[in-house]
Amino acid sequence: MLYMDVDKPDFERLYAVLHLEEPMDRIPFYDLFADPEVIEAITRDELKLKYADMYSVARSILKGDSRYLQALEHDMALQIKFYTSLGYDYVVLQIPSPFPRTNIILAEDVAPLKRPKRSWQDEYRGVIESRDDFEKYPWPDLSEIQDIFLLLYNTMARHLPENVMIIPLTPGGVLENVMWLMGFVPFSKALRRDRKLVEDMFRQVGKVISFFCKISAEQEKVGAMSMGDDMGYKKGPFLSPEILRELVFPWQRECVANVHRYGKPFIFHSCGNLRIVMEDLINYVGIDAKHSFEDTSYPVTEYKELYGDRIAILGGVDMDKLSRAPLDEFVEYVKDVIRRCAPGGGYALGCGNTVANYVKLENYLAMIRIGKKYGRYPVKRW
Amino acid sequence: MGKKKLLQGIVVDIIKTDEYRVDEEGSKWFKCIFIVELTRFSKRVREEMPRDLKNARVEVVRWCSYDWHFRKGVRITLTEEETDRVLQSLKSQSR
Repeated sequence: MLYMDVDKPDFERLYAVLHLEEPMDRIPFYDLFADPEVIEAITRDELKLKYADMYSVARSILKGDSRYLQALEHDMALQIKFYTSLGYDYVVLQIPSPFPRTNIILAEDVAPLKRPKRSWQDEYRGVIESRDDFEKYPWPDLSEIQDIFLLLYNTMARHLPENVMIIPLTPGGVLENVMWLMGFVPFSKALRRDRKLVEDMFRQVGKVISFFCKISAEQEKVGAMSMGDDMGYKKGPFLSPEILRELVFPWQRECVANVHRYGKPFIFHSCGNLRIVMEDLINYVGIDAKHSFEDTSYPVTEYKELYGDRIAILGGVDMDKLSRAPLDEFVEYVKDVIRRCAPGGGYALGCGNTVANYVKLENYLAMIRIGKKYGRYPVKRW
Repeated sequence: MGKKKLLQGIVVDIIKTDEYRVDEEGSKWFKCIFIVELTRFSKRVREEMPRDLKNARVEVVRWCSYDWHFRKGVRITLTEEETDRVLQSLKSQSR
C-alpha cells in the first residue's frame, strides 16, 4: 500500500514549483499571508500583538524594552503553527512598514471574523503632497530597518521546524507605498504637475523596499521573497504602461535582482488585470512567480495557460467563491482549478488574494483538504 | 533543495497498463508508461540541454490515479535518476 506523508511540510515542494517543476508528491499551498483573525480561529489561540504597530514594537524591544518579547515569541510560534499544521511548506514573515502615515479611514468591519475596525486608504489625502511635505517626512534609516528586520527574522527562525523555510513579505510594494503616502488623487495630479516629486518619491521608497529584498534574501532560512504591489483594476493597470516602465518597473527590477543575487526566487503579488504589462514583468522585471487572480477578470486558469511555461502561477482560488459559494459547488470548483492548473507543475494552490477574515473557513479548509488529496501528482517510484 | 539538474519534456503519449496499486485511502494508481519528448533542463540550473537531446523521446514510469494525471501535451519533469540515466546513455552513445 502506498503511503504519502502529504501533511508534512517540506519546502522542496514549493521550491520545485517556483522552478516550474512538478513537486515531489502533492501540489503545495501558497498564500501571500493570512489575516490574524483566521490564524486565531484555526489555531484556537490568541495573537497577542495582532493590532500592534510591529515596527514600533520591534523598535522598543531593540531599545531594551522587554515587555513585548514574550508576546513576540508567542506570536511567531503561533504563526508557524498555523502555516505548518495546514500543510504550507513555508511561513510568512510580514515585514512591518517603516513608512508612517495618517491618511487612513477607519470603518466598521463586516467580515464573519471581524476586527474592531477595518482600515481603508484615503485616496484624496496624502501625507506627502508637496516638496515641503517630502522634505519634512521622517524617511526611515536603513540601519534601523535592518536591525528591526533581523530581530523579527531571528525570532521566527528560532522556532522554525526542519524543512520549513521563511518567505518574507515586503511592507507593500514600490508603487503601493508611493500611492499610499501620496494618496491616489494627489499622486495622479503630481504626475502631471510635479513629476520630479514623484520621481523622488519612487527613489526614496524604491531604495527602502529593494533594501528589504536584499537583507531578506541574504538570510539562510529564507527560501524565497515575496512582494505585494497592487497595480491595477479589473480592466487594467492604474497607470499607463509607459509610466509603469519609466517609474515603477526599474525599482521592481532592482528588488528582483537583489533576491536573484542570492539564488532565490521572487514571488510577485499584484491585484489587477495586468495582461498588458505581463511581458514586462516576466522579461524585464524578472519575476519568477505571479500571485493574485480573480475569475471575473484575470482568472488563474488563463494565466497558467498563457504564462505557465515561463513563470510559476500561484493561488487563484477565487475570493468571491471562497467567501460565498456553497460547499458542494466550491469543492467541484477547486477540483477544476487543480485539473486545469496542476498538470506539468509550476502551480501552487491557494486563495486568489489572501486568507482574508471574510472568507468562509469551511471553504478555505475544504480547499486545503482537496489539495492534499486530489492535488497528488503521479507517483514516480512505488 | 539544491541545484540538481533535472530534464524536462512534453508528454506526447501515455500507455496505461493493467498493473495497479492501492493507496491508504483506497484509490487505485495505475502503472503508466509516459513517452516524453525532451525540451530543456529545469530552471534550477541555468544550463542549456545538450543539443543531441533536443526532441529525443524517452520513456518513464508514472503511477496515475486522477483524471488530470492522464493529460498529454503538458510539461513533465524527470527525476534525478531518470535524468542521470538519459545523460549517461548520451555519453555512452558518443563514445
